[in-house]
Formats: sequence, structure tokens, C-alpha cells
Amino acid sequence: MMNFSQEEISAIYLSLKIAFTASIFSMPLAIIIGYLFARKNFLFKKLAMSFFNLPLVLPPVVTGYLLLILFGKNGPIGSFLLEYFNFTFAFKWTGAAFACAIMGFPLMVRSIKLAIEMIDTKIEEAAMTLGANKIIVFFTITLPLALPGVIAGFILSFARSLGEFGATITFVSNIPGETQTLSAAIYTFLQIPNGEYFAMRLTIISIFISISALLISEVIFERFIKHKRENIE
Amino acid sequence: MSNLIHINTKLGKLHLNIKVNLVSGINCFFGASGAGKTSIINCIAGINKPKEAKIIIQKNVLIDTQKNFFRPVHKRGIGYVFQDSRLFPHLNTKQNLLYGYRLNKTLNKKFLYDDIVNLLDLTLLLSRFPNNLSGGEKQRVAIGRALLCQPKIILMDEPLSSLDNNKKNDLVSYIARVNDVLKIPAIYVSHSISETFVLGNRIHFIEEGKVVFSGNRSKALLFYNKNDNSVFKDSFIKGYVTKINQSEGLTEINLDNEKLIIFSKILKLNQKVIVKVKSSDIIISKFLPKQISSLNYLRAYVSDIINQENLVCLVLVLGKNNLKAHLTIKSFKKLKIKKGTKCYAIIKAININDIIDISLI
Repeated sequence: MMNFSQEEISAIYLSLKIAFTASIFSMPLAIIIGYLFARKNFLFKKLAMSFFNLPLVLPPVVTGYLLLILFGKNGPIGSFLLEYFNFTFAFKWTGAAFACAIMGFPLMVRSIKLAIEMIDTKIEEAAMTLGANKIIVFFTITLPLALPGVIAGFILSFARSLGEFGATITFVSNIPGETQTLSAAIYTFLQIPNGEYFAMRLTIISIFISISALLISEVIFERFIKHKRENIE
Repeated sequence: MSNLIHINTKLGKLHLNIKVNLVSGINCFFGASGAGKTSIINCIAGINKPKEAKIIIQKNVLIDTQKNFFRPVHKRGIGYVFQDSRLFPHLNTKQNLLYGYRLNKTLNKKFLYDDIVNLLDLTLLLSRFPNNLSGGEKQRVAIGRALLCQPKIILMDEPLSSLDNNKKNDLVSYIARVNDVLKIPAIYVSHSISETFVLGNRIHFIEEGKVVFSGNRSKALLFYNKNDNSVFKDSFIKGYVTKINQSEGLTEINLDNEKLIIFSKILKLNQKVIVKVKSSDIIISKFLPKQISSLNYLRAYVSDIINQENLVCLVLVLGKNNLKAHLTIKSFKKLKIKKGTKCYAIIKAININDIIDISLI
């Protein structure tokens, strides 16, 4: 078996921690935005949708740079957070998670939006006639029925975060033990002489993590999609 | 009145203008599709918002546009059984049944879980998901679910329309049982006249958003048989079984002193029935036919003649019943029929499916 070095272990751990944090914390907002996009009509809806999809089409470096300008220590939002909450994203793993959340957000919203659009509003109408107000309907009918989409969105965002490189490295740099994820570590090893061996080790680990994530998602999906598929018959 | 429905509104192309008092028991609304039947119950449920309306159910005001009052859907206390059942696909039967039950915070619940499960024979379905239920089972669960939210009225929107004939009869008897045991006012919307006659304690005919008739079953039968158009075709005659001849497989039905003989073994003696007679299955003769294969020739006289494009519709009177017969213009002229002409209505055959058991309600 491979003996992992301290650096490798921290890169693996950081990658998983950052991806998980990014996906979990962006989920509630993604559900709200996905619901609004699926069900409501409002002024400038198309514009809002384009805005939320920006990270998907912008070069990641550009996204990272914009984050740096806005949330860096000298940026308008960054300096505000630092002054009033003594909090900063700069060169912190939370900053990496934030960048990943931004990058994965459009994928998550899209998946949730599609799932909510699939739900027959007549089912929700039936729930209302049984005495459920709108909030109860949302939590007992809409959200459970959209669950496959929410899970798919989580996995997409998680996978996107694992692979995230450009935005993260631009925003919070590449500090071992703090912001150096697997991708960044592989990149670093490729920059030093005789680093290919270590880069290859990390590459294999990367592949292993990705395949595991896909397998887990397949298993979860099968359980939830089952109801839905049978329902269509 | 404790149950009043007054709606005057435009919904799409339809102008709905109705004023109805409900009786306890089953109120059937019959009409062609697009006549506005479903719109009426959607207004009661609060799914449609009529411009001008006043609806009071069991002394509860649901909507009163004059006072600018609109009770939201979830506070109306109605049990809605949809045409397409609309069970929650992610919940099993038990969870579906308890959905409204748990949301209802009344302490003394009138409809209890165990009672409803027994009444509708749901015990074997409890752990199954909607995708594993047949159409009839789904509707039974839907009725149970609606009842368990402790409604003040139950609304049924063509609950049988997606079922095949055998299942229909099954579910009709369940609905009759619910009405019998639970004593809750119900509105039953249908475009099937047989269902309407079987279930209706009070029957309302709806045409183009208006109520053209309201009354009990006997009066509804008379009204139906006197009118002839695309909705009121055929005739329905009330009677009861007087004789059963097992060896020949024949059953004799008394239709207000005229007897009708049909080929059937499944009816019971003294069973009350309504017989559907197709207007095109009637032959008119001015004399008593002697050598003829048909067993049924009923004495009648012509009370009304309705001219149509290519046909003439005769409204015949047999005792207290009315019967419609369609004739070609040619045979009408040949027979020289006027109002009051005495004649015999020869009925070729009665399909056993056209005999409706009305002993349920």
C-alpha cells in the first residue's frame, strides 16, 4: 500500500472538506432560487438566470479574480467583513469553499429547477384541499418529490468543487494545509523537478475519489428515482 | 339554508351562472363535458376564484364577494376527490390517508382512521405505494384521504371516469356506502347519466354554465325523458322485477303496469331498477303486432313531436313514464302520427348493462 505523506493527506482532506462545505452551504439558497426560477415569473427573470449561470461560462480565473476584487481584504465586501465581523476569506480554506460554491451553484440550481418543474402542481393543489398551507405543501410535497434533483445537484456541485482549480487558486492562492486542494497539489508537484511520481499518486487518488462519489450517487439515486419511475407508469 | 351555492362568473369562454341549494346526501351535477360542472366544485374548493359568488356550506361562509371575503383553500374544510385521484406518489396508502388527518387539529374527530379503513376495505393496501394500486383502489384511497381531513362536504369530480365497467360498479357501491354510513353532504359531478341516477339524492342538470333542472330522481327521470338533444338522448324508465323465469332465462320487469321482458338471470325479485332504452331501438306500430319475434310491445300514446334535421323524435307516454323514439321523416309521414296518436312501442332488445340497480341509494 501507499504510505501517504502529511502533505498528501492534508490535500485529500482539504479537497473533501472544501467540496462538502461548498455543496452543503449552497444547497438551501439553491433550493430557493431553483424554486423561484421553476415556479415564479418576475421582472428580469431571464437576466437573473443569466447572472446565476455566469460562473458556468466565465473562465474560472475570471471568476476567481472577480471574487478577489470583491471579497479580498481590500475589496468593498471583503474589507467590510473584516472590519465589522473580523472575518476574511483571503488565503483561508473557507475562501476556497466559497469559490467552489460559486462555481458549482449554477449546476445545483439547474438540477433543482428541473426537478421542481417536473412536479405536477395538481398534486400540490390536492395537498392544499386537505388543509396544508403553502409552507407545509412545500416541505411535505414539493421538496420530497424534488429530492432526486436536489441530490443530483449536490453531487454535481461536489464533483465540480473537487475539480475546481482556476477560481480557487486565483482567489485564495495555493497554501499547503490551508488552500492546497488535490488539483492544486498535483499542479505544484508538476512544477518541481522529479515531481511526476507524486503527481501520479495524487492523480490516482483523485480518480478513486471521483469514482467513489459517482458510485455513491448511483446508489442513492436508485433508491429515490424508483418511486418516481413507477409513478409514471 | 345551510348549504347555498351562488356563482356568477366568467371562466375562460364559459359564463357560469348558478344558484343551487344542496340537500344532505348526494347532489349530482350532470352535464356534457365543458358545461361547467368541474368549475362549480373548483369554485367551492377555492381553486377557482369566481368574480361574483356566495357559497355557504354547513353554515360556513367559503366566499362572499359582496363582503370581499375569500377563504383560502386549505381552510375550507372540504374533501375533494379528484378525477385522477392525485395521491401523493412518495407516500404509501397509510401516509396518504393520514396526510389531512394529521393537519386537522380538531379534538373530536368525526371520521376516525380505523373506521374509514374498514368502511372502504383499505386494510390490505396500507403499506402499498400509489404506483402499486389499481385505478379503483386509488380512488378508494382518495375517498378515504378526503374523508379523514374531516370535511364538511365532500366533492367528487367524475371519480369513476378512469375505471372500467366492473370497477365502476364496485366503486359506486362504496360511494353509496359512504353516503349511507357517514351522512355527509356530497357533490358528485358526472357526465354519465347512469351514475347520476344511481347515486343522486338530488339531481341537477347543467347546460352551458346554467342549471336547467333541479329535483329528485323521479322528477329528473321525467325531465330527462321529455328532452331530446345531444345530452338527453335515450330514455330511462323506472320499474321493479316482478317475475323470474329461470328455465327460459327471462326476467319480467314492471314499468308502471306495462311489462318488459328481458334476457337476464342476474336480477333479483322486487329489485328496483332503471331501464335504459335507446331511442333508436324502438319500432313504432299503430296496431298490436301479433306475429313478431320481439317480446316487448308497450302501449303508449304520442305526447310531443320534436323535429330534428333528419329525424323526428316522438315523446311517448306509457303510464307515468316517458319514452323517446327516433323515426325517419319518411316513416313518420307514412304512419301519419299526430299528438295523441295511440301506438305500440316495440323494443328490440335491452342490454343487461343498460339496467341500472337503484336499490343502493
